[in-house]
Amino acid sequence: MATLTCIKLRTSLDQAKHDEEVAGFLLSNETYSDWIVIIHFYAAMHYVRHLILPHSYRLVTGAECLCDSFENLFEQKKRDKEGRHGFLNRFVRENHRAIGVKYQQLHEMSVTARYNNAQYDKRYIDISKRHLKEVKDYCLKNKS
Amino acid sequence: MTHQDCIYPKRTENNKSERFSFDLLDGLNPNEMISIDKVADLVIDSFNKGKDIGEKGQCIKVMKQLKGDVNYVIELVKNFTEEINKKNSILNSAFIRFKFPNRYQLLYAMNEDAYFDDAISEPVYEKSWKVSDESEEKGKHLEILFIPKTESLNTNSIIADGYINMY
Repeated sequence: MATLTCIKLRTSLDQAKHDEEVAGFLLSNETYSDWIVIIHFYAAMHYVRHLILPHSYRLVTGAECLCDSFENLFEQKKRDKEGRHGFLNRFVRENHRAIGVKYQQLHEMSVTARYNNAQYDKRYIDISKRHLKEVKDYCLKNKS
Repeated sequence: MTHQDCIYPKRTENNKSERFSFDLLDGLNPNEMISIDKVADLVIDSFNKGKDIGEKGQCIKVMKQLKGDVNYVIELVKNFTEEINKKNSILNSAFIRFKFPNRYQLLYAMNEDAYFDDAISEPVYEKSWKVSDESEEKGKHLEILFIPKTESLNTNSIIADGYINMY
């Protein structure tokens, strides 16, 4: 008989902290600079998800709709052919403009690591770390 | 062939409508009976003819729409780039990626120092968001991204991701 393994689902906040720890672990070796930048972005993404979920909004009918997962929110609010990251970039700038640029730059730096042959120097790591801190502080401060 | 299997190909008010605009009954003698099979053939031919014309028409419509959208986006890129570079020449190159039917992803390589200078980059981002929102109102989905222009930037990787180098 097959054995079922129960995997405890992480919350967005737990995942953000987990990602941050991994980035910290990799920081000891600059060889993984591209991955550090990418992980910083994912940590920021999970802090943002922690901030925005659950999200409630009013339907045209006046009824209240509650989205308790990102996938649910994405399905409800995405624009035509919009991807998940593009959607979250837009959602952040529309609803949390203070971190709009930092969050988008983290996304851009992570996406474009491969356009730079995955070579990011220490400067990039410092910048992405600083951006992550700004996003994290904002998210934790504004989480109701 | 029984009488019930046949019809007179007479024009009526109904079959003069647009649905029969392909002259389904042309060339037939209205006083002669034709078989149901013949009618079925005529209807199928008529359907195929209509389908071809419809598809061709739809294709022309889509092409026209795409051409209009592309021209709009090119104009927008030109204006945006000029406006940003008027103050400081920081946008070094632009790439565009298209997702059918109307989503465009624009990727700018920005001068590295400017990219990380909040005082310079933040107004550029603000402007790009405004441009995206304006294009959205016109039914064109435009997403604008920036990347720092580094010495190691490999434009072939960008192109391999489906982008077209605009300048």
